[in-house]
Amino acid sequence: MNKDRLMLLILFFEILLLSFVNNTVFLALYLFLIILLFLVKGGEVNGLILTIKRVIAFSFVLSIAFYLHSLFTGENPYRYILLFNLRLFDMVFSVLFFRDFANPVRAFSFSKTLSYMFTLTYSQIQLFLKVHSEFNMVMRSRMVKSGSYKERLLFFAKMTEYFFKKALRRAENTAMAMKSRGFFLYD
Amino acid sequence: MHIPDGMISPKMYIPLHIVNAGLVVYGFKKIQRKIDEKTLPYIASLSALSFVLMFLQVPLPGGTSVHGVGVAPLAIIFGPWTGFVSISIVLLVQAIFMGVGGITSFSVNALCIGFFGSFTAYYTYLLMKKITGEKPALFIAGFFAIIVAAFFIALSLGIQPVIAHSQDGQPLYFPFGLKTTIPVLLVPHIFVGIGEGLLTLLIYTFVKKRLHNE
Repeated sequence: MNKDRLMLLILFFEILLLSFVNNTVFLALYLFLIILLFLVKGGEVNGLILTIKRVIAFSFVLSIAFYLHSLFTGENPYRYILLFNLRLFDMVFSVLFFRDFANPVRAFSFSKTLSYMFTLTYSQIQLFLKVHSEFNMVMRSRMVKSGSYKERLLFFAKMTEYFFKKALRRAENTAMAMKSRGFFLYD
Repeated sequence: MHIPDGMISPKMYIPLHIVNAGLVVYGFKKIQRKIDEKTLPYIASLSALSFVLMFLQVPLPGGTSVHGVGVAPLAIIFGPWTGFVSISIVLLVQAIFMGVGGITSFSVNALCIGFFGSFTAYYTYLLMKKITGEKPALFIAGFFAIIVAAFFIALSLGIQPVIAHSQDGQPLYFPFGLKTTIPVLLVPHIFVGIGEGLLTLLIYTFVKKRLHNE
């Protein structure tokens, strides 16, 4: 078993264990340790911040919703909010640790075709993320104030169309390159 | 639409992981022979488009936002198993690389969005094509793929307080029941379904034309 697959196996056990634990002290200690380990090993801080931003939006909405709900039911909301947030962040950090210190593509390479599908899809996603950030910067630099609802929808539609055409051309080239190098798709 | 980590109890996700793994392996074997240098670029691009639709939040009046999925074009053009396997890969990439969705909720997301979404789109299309003709059938298939996926997501979340709670009745995973999850998820997804239906129509026409010209 290669190192990446071993790390994947460890991640699965880690997540499985965390999903069973309802002890907030254990979850808090675990969070502290995994953040410490992540930072000591030199994990990518920018990616970490971006992921946390995405998770916080969800965590915030659910925490507020549960707090408001508890005002009607009379139950103490704090234990659940703490438990849910600690467990969520423990799991997110475990996944980030795996992402930064293992090669997920190699870990999931159970079959040659699957690896290619995974790699090709992932490379397209990376392209999309790059174009998305460029489009956003272009729009911001050309607009003094935020556009109307209709303008934003149009922007979204145009960007998606551009993404799709660009990705298709790139994927066609990649597939032709694979074919010309004698790539045999079937395992 | 996706469920993040920590929302689904092990009582539910462990059996669903087993079911999902079995279905992915079966589906992958079924689609393997269809994948060649002509279809692979389309499958990869449509999968990536699906990622984009899930990634880009479309604002709705009132401050909320929702996203499309893009499962219907994949399922209708390449078959429901291709749709399911591709969406599973997208969800896995999102969970591992982007921290969106999650490992524990992966099987619920893949089954609800990928499996039920793909099969609903595919069979709705086949059925409606005979009744309404191709174009309306594509729109209806895209619409129902989203509604059915959102319904199963709402169901999976809504049963959590019943199947997993502490001795004093406090929820341990997702806290709200079916009375909350079904309307909260289904109502906004009616709008998403309309968008998804239109998108299915557009993508299907574009890809079919291009595949036909090659």
